[in-house]
Amino acid sequence: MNLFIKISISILFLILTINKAFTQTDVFNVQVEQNPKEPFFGINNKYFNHYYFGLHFNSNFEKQNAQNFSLRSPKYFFGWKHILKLNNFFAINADLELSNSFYCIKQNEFKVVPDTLKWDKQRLIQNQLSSAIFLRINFDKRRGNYMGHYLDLGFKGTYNYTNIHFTKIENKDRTVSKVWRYNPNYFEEINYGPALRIGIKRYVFSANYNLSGVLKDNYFTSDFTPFSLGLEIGLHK
Amino acid sequence: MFELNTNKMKSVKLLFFLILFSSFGLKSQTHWVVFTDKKDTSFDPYEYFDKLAIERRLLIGYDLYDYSDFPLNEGYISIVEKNVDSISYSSRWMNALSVWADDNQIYVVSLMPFVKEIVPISNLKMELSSKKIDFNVSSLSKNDSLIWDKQLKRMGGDLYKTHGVDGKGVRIAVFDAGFPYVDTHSAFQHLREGNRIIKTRDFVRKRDFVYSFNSHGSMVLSAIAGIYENKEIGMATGAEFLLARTEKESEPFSEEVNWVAAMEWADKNGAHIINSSLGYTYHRYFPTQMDGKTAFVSRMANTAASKGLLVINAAGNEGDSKWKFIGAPADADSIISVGGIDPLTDKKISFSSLGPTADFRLKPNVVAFGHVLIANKSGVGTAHGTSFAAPLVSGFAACAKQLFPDLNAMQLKELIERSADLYPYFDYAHGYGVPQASKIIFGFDNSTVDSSFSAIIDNKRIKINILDENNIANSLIYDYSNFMYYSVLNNKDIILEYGVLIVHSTDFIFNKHSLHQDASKVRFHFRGQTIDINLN
Repeated sequence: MNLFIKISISILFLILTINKAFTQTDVFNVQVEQNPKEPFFGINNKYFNHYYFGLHFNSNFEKQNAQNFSLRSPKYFFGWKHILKLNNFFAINADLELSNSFYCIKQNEFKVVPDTLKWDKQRLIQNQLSSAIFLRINFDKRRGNYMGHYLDLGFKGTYNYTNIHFTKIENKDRTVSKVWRYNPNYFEEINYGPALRIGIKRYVFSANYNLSGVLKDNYFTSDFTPFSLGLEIGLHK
Repeated sequence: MFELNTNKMKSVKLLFFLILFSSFGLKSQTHWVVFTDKKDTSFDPYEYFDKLAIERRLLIGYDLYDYSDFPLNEGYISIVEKNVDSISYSSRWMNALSVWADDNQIYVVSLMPFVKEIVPISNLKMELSSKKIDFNVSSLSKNDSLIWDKQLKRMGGDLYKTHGVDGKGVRIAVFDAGFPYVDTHSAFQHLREGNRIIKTRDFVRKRDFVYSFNSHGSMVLSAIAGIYENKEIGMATGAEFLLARTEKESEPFSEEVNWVAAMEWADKNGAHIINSSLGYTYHRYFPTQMDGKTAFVSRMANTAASKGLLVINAAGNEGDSKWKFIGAPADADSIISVGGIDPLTDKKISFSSLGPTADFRLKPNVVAFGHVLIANKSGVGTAHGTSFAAPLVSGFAACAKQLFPDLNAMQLKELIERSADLYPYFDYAHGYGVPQASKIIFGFDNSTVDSSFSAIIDNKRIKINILDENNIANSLIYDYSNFMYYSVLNNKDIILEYGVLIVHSTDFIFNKHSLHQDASKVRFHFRGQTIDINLN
């Protein structure tokens, strides 16, 4: 018997063996859940977590000669939200958030904070860690696992772990002086105040009011309006 | 630090204003105002209903002067109208008005003595049950042509044709998101020439013109009754149609009201069959609420069935999504929910939603191709979705209705289920299988089914012996004539596990039931034969 015949017989044997070994092939199979329950975790289930990010602008309401350019005074933030559903109408949600806040200060003869000097550029920069708790009122009370329309009313606390006062000026000899003052003692380290969020699905209009102010009262008689508003986007379906 | 100076007060006021503004902005919504009675109203069914609607009622012995068909009390309507922003629809079936009103207005209305209850209406959107539509197909691919050849043949459409059955005399209402090019496309020429588009109504825009907006409805209509270049796309080419635009896409809206309005309109205008390819899923409900009783539209679908209308609804395209299960109204008890199969593999197409209902009733009821040739703007093309499986079954149902005009909706539903190729076997993906015209035309003579296999239980193992050996030896090749369907059931006939096997051998052992402690029965289906093996 030559080699070719031996190989052919071996292959044939293998095919027949495999054919007998696999007498059936599952092409479709479903196990049926016998006690289906709403899962605890989900957008409109008992618990839900999601990340979010957003952009606010620190407002510029005239306030005793403390003025900033609102659109050049942004606040970027990224956070994590945990939601606990109480019933179809109400939920509690808590945030943990990292943010960068800027105040681009208007330079004019009326300014009094944080100094009366006129600079080419002057910024207050804060790196913040915040925590907030909200009561959520859901308007789509008869919805499924879906975010819907809601109003969040809450209170927010912020720790400013870095405060920077930045100034830039061009000197008479055309050299530029840039000064960063880290954690000067006239910044409030802790901020707190009410917060509001109005959401449609993942898109949220939000506003914060900072009752404690940006600058310490015992250093200055005026302060920037600690009011910011803007948009957030929830990272969920 | 805590002292609020004047400017701070201004800001706080602004914040307060924003809260107030936002609350009011979000509060406004639509409601059903349900009345207690229809006192002092009169009703002439012969004036109100189309002739076919009268015939349908007489057929099922439904009272022509049923309370639910009486109009609403005009006095109640005028009082409510003065206290709300606007009235969008009045429903005879529900004895209710759909109104736009804020919370204060609704509170005032709820105190009126003739108001039974206030039900908020969903402003959340329904999902069109289409998955992928291949537009701009200038010439058909080989695959498309194959689908076109098979989509009617798989149900025995050619048999209907040779017997001259085309749904003549049957009226089908199609609820969808728009019907552009139905008034111009050659695939609908026979309907236009025969004046078989009886009535149209756009419930979104509140007008009669429907030949615009989303082309989903046109595609669905073509899968019921289209003819392109002298070749049928759907089976019911001789049927009459009522076209209702009830949905618009990508916006929040009150489709629920439109759906109810269209149901009543279809009933009034003598529809025998309603085809709907839409469904509510996660926007509105949880899978555990898909019990046919919770969802408003499911209850309305059952109401329509009680009045003799056969509602055929797509099962949905959530099979491969997180939702996974059928939506509403496909969960309704008295309607036919249609799942999709893949034309190439003949088993469930990946996206077709699964049953059962939350209370473990069988859904979908039957299946048809979920990848279908349809008429599109540029001619014909293919589209994916149970949206297009449902109209294939609607066309089939119209032909069955033509053959058996005396059957009521429930009898017709049962006939279609019994005609399906897996019946009496069922599972939660394929239902009873694909309806077969041969069984409608020639009847259900079981003696013609040869014994294709036997199954015996031996020491808790099930031994299967294939008697019809044709093609088994070559079954290493994927061949769906070798599909063996199986389901493991408990003592309440609820399926615990189900699936499809390809059989490679004439003798083999089946052991899947051993994994289920409460299994009491295993059911097999192979080449037309169904065998139950009791395990106890």
